[in-house]
Amino acid sequence: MSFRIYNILADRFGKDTLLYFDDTLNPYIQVAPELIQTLCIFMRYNPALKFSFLFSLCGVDYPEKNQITMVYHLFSMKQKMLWVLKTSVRREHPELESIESVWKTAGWFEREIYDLLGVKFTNHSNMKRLLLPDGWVGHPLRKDYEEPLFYHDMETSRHRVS
Amino acid sequence: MLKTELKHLKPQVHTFKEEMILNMGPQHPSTHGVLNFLVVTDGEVIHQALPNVGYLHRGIEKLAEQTPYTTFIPFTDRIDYLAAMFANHVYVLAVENLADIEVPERAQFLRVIACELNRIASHLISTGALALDIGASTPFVHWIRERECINDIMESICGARLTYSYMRVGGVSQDINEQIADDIYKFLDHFEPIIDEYNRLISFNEIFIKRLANVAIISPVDAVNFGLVGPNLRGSGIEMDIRRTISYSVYDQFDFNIPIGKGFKGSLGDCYDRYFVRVLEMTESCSIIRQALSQIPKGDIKAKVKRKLKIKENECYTCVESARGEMGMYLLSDGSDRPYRLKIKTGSFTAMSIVEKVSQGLMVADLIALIGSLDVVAPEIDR
Amino acid sequence: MKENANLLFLFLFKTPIKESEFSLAWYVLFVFLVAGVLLFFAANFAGITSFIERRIAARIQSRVGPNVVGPQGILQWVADGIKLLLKEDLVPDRADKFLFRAAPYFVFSGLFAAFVALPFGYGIVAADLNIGVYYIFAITSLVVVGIIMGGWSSNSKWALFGALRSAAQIISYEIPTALSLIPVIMLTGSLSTQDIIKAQGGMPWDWYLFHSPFTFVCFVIFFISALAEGNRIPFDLPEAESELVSGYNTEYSGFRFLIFPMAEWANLWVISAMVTLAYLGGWQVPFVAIETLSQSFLLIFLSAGVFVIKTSIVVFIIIQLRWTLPRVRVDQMTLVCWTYLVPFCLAAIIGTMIWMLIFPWETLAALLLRLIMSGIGLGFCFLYVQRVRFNYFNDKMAFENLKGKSLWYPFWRLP
Repeated sequence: MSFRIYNILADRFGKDTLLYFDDTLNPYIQVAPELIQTLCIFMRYNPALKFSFLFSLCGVDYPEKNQITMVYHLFSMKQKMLWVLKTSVRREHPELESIESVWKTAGWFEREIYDLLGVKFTNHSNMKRLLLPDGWVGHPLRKDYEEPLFYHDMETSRHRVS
Repeated sequence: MLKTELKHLKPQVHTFKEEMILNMGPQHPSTHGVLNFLVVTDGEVIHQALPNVGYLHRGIEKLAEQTPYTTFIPFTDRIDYLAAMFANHVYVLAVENLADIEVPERAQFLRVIACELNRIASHLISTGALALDIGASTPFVHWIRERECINDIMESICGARLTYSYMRVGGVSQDINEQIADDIYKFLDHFEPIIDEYNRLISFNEIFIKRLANVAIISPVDAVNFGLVGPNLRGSGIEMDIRRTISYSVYDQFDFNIPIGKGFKGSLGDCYDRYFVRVLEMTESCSIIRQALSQIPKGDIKAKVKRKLKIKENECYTCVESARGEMGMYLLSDGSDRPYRLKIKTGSFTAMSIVEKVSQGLMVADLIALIGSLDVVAPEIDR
Repeated sequence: MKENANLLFLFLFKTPIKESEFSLAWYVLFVFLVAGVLLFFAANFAGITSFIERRIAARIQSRVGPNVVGPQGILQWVADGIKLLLKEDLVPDRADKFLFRAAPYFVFSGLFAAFVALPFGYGIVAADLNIGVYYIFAITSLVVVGIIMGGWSSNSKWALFGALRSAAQIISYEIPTALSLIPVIMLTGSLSTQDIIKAQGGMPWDWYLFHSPFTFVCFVIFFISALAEGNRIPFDLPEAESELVSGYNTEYSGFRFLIFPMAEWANLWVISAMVTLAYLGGWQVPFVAIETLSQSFLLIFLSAGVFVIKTSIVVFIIIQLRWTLPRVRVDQMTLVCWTYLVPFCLAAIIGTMIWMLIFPWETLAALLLRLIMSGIGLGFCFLYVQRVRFNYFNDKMAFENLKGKSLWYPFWRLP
């Protein structure tokens, strides 16, 4: 089933650009960051695929590989199956094309990723922090994030009662 | 601090001469938690409503990375305090998927019973709070009374009334006995006719219909595009229910309908559809609980799971149909005893993002109805 | 007024008052006395009704109402009042301080002045004005001035919203309220509240409510628009607590805040008394002619009792409506007024005119029609009681089956 879909994608984009991994519970495809928007549009609107739902969009930080991986979970009502796309950006100046134009709901997911992981999405309508205050320093979901000891002159430490 | 935030928000709001900025929340009676809306209005008509979330952000995803697998369960209760059972469920399902743990049949049935009871409780609050926002306070209190019965049952099942922590990796914490099963049957016998009474009281009230029908219409296309899930999506007429489409646990053994919006009193996808789908879903939940209670097998309630659970490198995305729609968890393991990354996707998060689009041209009172009908719960948005 | 003052003087000092410069002082004293009595009544009614409303609401919502302060919580309203009196009188920063402080006075005086022309029994009225009904309309409009002042000056957008809604609402609903009383005035030929009651009778078929289908329609319209003027659900838009935090009184605290809910509950009496006197026969005692009514104090007290009971029933219905119905939207509120109430009201006025010409009050045909109308009215009451009874027993049975114990308890007690 999932291999059939991979073949459709490979016919369109070529086998070298899509790396297929099926050693995990949900098989996924790893693509280059430039390709992600085109691939999303193809998967959403191609009549054979019709992955019309974007279930989730999240980022994972890998400091030892020096990259942040975006994970896209797509779902198709027609096939009743979940499909996972992955793409990686470098950790220093992470930038990626937004897929807000494909799914509107990606807008908020991307804002959340920007907020918590610091990946900037280009062509995004409102690239601002979502959950944390605008003046926050750092991106908490990065593995090397250190909690600031003070926020607006308030102590954040839990261990010491002053 | 609020002032600095608003300063940042102001430039994106272009106000004309007649417009004014109304700062709705976070201390507002009907924002269902701590939410802030920056509303640009011309008189009573809203030109733009920008949701400003994050007041309840507790960093549960970060906490998960520092907590062993089995001890993270109480945290999941706090994701959505009105439907804690579903967050429990999706988390233990995700861990079981990764660790490849076989759950006993009886435990799965117990999970379904607890979840469906919790779904009723959550929908009671949701529909009642919508009526309260519209101005009718009696239905809400009546629904709280019914929910109290469910809370009593929950207390007898798992010892907690709100934050259950009922599920364990590999099963559930407590078994139910004849007495509790009897209580549940008794409650169902009592509750099903009460729905009719409630409908007489509020659902078919002419003012209520006038307030909700044809208000804040979300078309099916928009609903998919904005990633609405659960009753909000079904209110727009799309028959999508994770219990049916991705059958998890033992839901494939039950026979139930999926109510969808048909434009009951107005047009498809209006507030009334979303509201009434929830009312209809309660009946379906009742029937699922009945079937589960009659089919429940005997046996263990918990599989043998190592106390210090270590999962080799793997990943999976698990989702369940929570009271607020699809709730998913993306769990990444790296061989240690705690997750490498846990992403929690909730229904309220996506529901909140559509407010900005739908609210244009509504009146201030309709915005309240819209938020109520979308059934957002603030801690679920922020996590 | 003057005659009553003379009578009281005679009663107290056993000598008729003499025309002198001191007699004027006596009259002024008497006016203050009457005002004090009215104020005492209105304030206490407002307080006690707040307690009763909360108890009724608790009953309707099957929960426990206030039952701690005093026996069965009967002193709750006193405690609330004292608490609010002791609160700090806050004025928001950058508010218009003068207007903010002045607004409660307008609300207060507007409502309590209405009590002057309201009758309480045969001959029991502070001032039987010959323009009584229109005096009440005019003076209660002062409330909206106070509300707009309060909402505008408190420098809060929620309060401003409430004030503007209130202005739109009261100005709109003033018209159907006044128009729907015109049939009554036509039938009586007077604007005096006492004359309106005197023209009716003690029995239901002598009430204006059942005079003709048109007056019945007018009664309904009057009731609806009086609700709207009193800011009661389903028309409590100015202080819609789920939309506009608390509406026009958001920024008020302490005694100045107390004035607003107090005026609202006092307004409940004004509304109900107006409904009673215009359509429900006022203080007319059944089987007692007006001529005999004046002859004994007992009968006068009886008439006052009848008036209070009728008004209390209307108050109860208004309270029950409040805890049953949702709130309408602001555009629906004005839509109902201008597209339904006003045209229907105009039609009903013309209808009443024609009806009056065809069936004059005394004729047998008119009496028969009134009897039929009151029969229909009785049917409505029966239906209403049946519905309430059905729902009550349904709910009670369901819970007794669930809990396995009787949930009945006497209505004066809470569990």
